[in-house]
Amino acid sequence: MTAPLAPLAPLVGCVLSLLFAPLLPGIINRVKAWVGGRQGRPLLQLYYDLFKLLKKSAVYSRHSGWMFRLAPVAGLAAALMALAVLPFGALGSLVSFPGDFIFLAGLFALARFTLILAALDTGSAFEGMGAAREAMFSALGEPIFLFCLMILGYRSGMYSLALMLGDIKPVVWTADWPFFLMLAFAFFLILLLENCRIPADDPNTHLELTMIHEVMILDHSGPDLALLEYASALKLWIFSLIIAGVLLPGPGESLPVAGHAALTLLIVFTVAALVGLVESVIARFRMERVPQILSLAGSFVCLAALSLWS
Amino acid sequence: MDISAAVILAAALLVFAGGLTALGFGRSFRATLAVRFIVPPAALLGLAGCVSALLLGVRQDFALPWPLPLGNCLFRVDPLSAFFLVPVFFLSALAALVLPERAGLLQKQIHAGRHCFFFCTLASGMALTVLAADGIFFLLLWEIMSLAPFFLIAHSDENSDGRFASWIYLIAAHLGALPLLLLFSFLTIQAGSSDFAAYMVMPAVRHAGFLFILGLIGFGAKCGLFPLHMWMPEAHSSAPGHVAVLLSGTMLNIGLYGILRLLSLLGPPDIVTAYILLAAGGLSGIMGILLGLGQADMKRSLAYSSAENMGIILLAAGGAVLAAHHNAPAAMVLLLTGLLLHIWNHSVFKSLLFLGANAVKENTHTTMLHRLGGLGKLMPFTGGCFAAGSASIAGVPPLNGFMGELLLYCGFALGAEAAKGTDAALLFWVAFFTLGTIAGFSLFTFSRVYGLAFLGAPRGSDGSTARDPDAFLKSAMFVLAGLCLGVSLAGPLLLRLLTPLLAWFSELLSLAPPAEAAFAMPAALLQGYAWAGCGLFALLAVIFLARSRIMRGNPEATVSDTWGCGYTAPSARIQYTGGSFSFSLSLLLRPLIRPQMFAPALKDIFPGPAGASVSSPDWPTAVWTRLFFRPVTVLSEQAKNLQHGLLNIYILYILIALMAALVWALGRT
Repeated sequence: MTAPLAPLAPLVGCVLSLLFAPLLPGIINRVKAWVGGRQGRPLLQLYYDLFKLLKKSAVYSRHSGWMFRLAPVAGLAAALMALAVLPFGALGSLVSFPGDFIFLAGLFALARFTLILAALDTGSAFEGMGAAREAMFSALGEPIFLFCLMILGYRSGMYSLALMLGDIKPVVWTADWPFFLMLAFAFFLILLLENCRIPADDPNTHLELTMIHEVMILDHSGPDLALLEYASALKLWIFSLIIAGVLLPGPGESLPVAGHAALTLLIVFTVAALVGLVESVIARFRMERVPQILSLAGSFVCLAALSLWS
Repeated sequence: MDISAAVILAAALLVFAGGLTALGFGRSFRATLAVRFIVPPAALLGLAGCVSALLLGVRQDFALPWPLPLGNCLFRVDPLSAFFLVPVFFLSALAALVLPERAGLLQKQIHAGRHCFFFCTLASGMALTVLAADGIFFLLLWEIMSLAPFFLIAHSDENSDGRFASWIYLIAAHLGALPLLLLFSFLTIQAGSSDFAAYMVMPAVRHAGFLFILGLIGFGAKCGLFPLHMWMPEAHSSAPGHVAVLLSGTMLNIGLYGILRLLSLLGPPDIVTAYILLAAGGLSGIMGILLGLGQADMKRSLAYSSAENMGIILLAAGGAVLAAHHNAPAAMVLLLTGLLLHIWNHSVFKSLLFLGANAVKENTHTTMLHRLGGLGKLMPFTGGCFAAGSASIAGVPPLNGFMGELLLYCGFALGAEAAKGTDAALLFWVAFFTLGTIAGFSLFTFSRVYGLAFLGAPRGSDGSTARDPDAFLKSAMFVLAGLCLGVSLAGPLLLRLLTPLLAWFSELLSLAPPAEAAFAMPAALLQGYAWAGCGLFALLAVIFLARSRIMRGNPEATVSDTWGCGYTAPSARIQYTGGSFSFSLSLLLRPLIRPQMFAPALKDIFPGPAGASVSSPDWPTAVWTRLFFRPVTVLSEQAKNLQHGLLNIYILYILIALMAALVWALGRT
């Protein structure tokens, strides 16, 4: 990339993210269909759905108020802000300040808080149930996610995402590879939980009683639902991007920045394919076993932390 | 003589004068109006004085020529006291503003003049306690301040809950004062004078660790640290709104002030102090929020969350001491800044939430979550303010609650890095993880409280006539909600205000003035957060406008029933309740929360109506009762046996006492 265009690089990363994020659910579905021997939905299904939903009229529950309408807006705003602080490969991030990794976790808290309240706003028993589960699992998951990010900062001595994720030197990576692999695995487990994928939650079940995320948005429709679906695709993208950042050392002599960005994209898509594979081979856990996924993630991040101990 | 210090002292005395004036009006309603007209201007004057004292780092003594039998009548304004006076004055002004209407609602049950007198005594007592610079005088004012709420908590003798709340408050306040009495006696004997300055110049305090633990127990009881929190849920949930504001928003802070002041008096704290603070803070933070998350009464949930927030603050204090020991000035300054900002933020959002809960109570006569619901439509203003407060306390950006936590997280992370390779790094990690856990649970708790009370459909008939409260309460809530939303944008300004205090306190902890560079990190963080907060607000506005534009082009939105999954006769009673919302989490964390569940056994093929219940009782109270209160009761019962009313037996007692004294005297020679 030429020097005068360098300030635009983070913007390029954001645009790529915004464009490609809805592709991830498509990839997951195609992988699941492929393993199951079916043809599956089109890869671009979510794009069609989003455009269709944007043109539809909305139906509101008579109990719902402003919180119900705020949740999709706040969810998308949080996801966009998260994209701004998160570096895309070596392209850097739009907004960067020390401590922005905590801010990233805070943005997820904002989206979750408004969505839980929107679910309670409808006065539905199902949605209350989903809200309670989401509140519970994310309360347990939040410290582990924060700890994963903190450990990453501890290793690099930098406490801003752009530096701790986007600037891992290849030499460091080859020296500390067990740390990065264990951390990536922990992030992957958190991805499954936070994005409501199997084994924590089944987004495709037909039964409201067993759902977490999908049941909270039962009453959303039209453009509101489009915003929510897009925000959740972005959230999946953000987690995959974090994993790509951990797994891929920064660009060096042999790898130019553009090639690095392409590799990042590839890893993100691979993560989605992996999610699809996991969904194909295991079933959803019983609700009371979901915290065990978190304990596994916690154990791995503790191991990663101890591997830095010297 | 510095003008701002004089203004502060005058304001505190003016507030007390307001109480005396009100007493003069007797039972008349005009007493409350006197408070409304006198206290807010005086308090705002004091607030201005505090801000100027903080900015300039003023240090000023006032000795009043009032001969006490022991000690001196000495006041001192310094940055630490000015810092704690800001919430005292600010919230006193707001509470006095909303007092007349609240007192009006209770008019038949309270003596207006007396109520106002004790209200002003509490407000000025807190201000003067913070200003006192003499051990004995401090204890005197501390007792006055501690006693005043007893007369304010229960507004009627008929209500047994209120009586119990006042009673348990009185016990806690007295038991808490006992260790403080010991503490200041020891200090005064060692220093030879009861002036705080004399304590500070002592070359080495003997038994400093023991004295610190005494102080932690005494001051910790006042700020409701777990397991000394038993009085708090009772007192805070029974007190009327304007009193609850003072109790939760400012009186808890006075306990914290005590702990921080003690840290400054005992000389540079050793590493054990850090361990004790971290342990006490972590325990109180986790247990406070865990006990609070399943409460059926929203005010009790709020009270438990105070124990949690006090725990966070002590955790940060422990981290700062630990960072000072590991020569990490950047981490120490970050933690201290976060700690101070969190104290102010907690005062703001907790008062807002208590005012909101009080508005609910006044309108629906209940704060039980299973009887509320859908209040956001009937009381839209209160609902909106309560939402802002809940989001803030749940640690959601871009509000103020997250600002302090952001600094604390980074402080712990930096501390771990500075202590790399030592055990202290592990401690910092544990503190970081603990803070994350607390934040997660507080989001759970406050989405539950706000969601169940204000959203959905009304669960009982209690709420059907609810309306927004009077203009004064509305404006008080509006100011506080505005602060919740806006303070994070003013982070860098606040840092400038706190810099003299930070420099002084970090010098106390680490024996060396912190370098300029140590302040760069919090400045960068607060600035980044302020800009990111602006960005987030802008994004919200842009997305909202875009959404409205899209919606305008689409076919008209319709209103219908909530999706019932094929069930066509939904009612408000099928909604999730407080018990069901927290059921799974209570079950998962059973050993810590110890919920009590009652489920009926269904036997026949067609079972009759039955009830099930989940409650979250305060089990530490039961433990205290078993370990302490019951033995004391038994002992007191047995002591009655000594008293017979027979003269000859009393003479025998005197004889025994004389003999014992004789034996002792002989043994000495």
